[in-house]
Amino acid sequence: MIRAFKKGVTLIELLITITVIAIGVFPLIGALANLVELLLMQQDQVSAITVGRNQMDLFLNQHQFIDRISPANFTAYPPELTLVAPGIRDRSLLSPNATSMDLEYNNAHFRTFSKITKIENLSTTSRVTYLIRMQVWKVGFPLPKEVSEDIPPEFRNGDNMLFELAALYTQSSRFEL
Amino acid sequence: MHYNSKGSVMVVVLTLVLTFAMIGIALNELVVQQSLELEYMGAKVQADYASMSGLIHGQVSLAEDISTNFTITPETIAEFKKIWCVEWFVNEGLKVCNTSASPDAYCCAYQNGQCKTRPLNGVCESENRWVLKYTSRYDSIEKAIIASGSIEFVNDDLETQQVFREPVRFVSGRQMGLNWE
Repeated sequence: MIRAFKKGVTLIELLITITVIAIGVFPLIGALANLVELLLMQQDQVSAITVGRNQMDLFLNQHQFIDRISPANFTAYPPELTLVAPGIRDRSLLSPNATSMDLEYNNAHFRTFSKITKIENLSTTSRVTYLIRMQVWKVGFPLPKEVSEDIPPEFRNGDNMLFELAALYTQSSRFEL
Repeated sequence: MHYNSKGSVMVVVLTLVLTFAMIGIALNELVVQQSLELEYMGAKVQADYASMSGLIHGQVSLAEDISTNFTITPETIAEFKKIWCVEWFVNEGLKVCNTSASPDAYCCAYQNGQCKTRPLNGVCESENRWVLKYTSRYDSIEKAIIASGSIEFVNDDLETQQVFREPVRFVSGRQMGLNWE
């Protein structure tokens, strides 16, 4: 029995085994850990692209979209409009007028923010053109007060902007310019 | 016999090391390739919407056409370069890039363990970029915009001052219906 043990594991073999683990196994475990982390980040990126596309399509496919988001009883088209996510309390797939998203998607929380700027050069007497710039943010930990109170959401450390998208939108003008 | 036993151990050890090394290399390749594919996907989406936007320049002409397809914009080249902010602050609930962030506190890209580029006005810019070429057409029968184009991944090598262009894929056939006619 003792002889078999001596034959089975020598000091050199033990050192070789340790070397194999150090050279081969530990880096492999590290690579796997990095891979998992990267895959999670990539999942967020793909989700942000999906959310961004859906939101932008909603903008572009709305009829007379600028009229809908302009202030009530407006007398001229505003030079700039900002569309902010409605906050956790109103969390749903869409805000009431489909101007922003604030939703859980693929185990992460995403918000869209859009700045819509009038392009004078492209606007005519009968049509008005706006540039839509939209950002998709991943929000880490929504604050409890955002759930319980009706206030706009805030950003904190750990929130990341994952995707940006820009497009032009043109519609008929309500006013003779 | 003793010699053969040691030889077998060495073979097993080498096989294990080689196997682990190959798995590690394969995983690394997978990660790099997937990251590139994902970046391409983002660029493609941006390209889609940018190419559709280009059509709106020609809208005055659109109303006059009732029967033909025609190219509204000639081939247009747009570049997408990844830009990111190194420091943010919160203003009225929105994050704003700090354009006065100290460049010494941040590094945009490393090379051989040394910082290669530092931010300018709080912003880093990637060395690689996507170059998009697209054309857009208006189909008056279908009342739809059809955009097509190609995207190239451009790798700027700062040391050799060379630019490597790698055609990635062809984008075609995106169609968008119009609701303003």
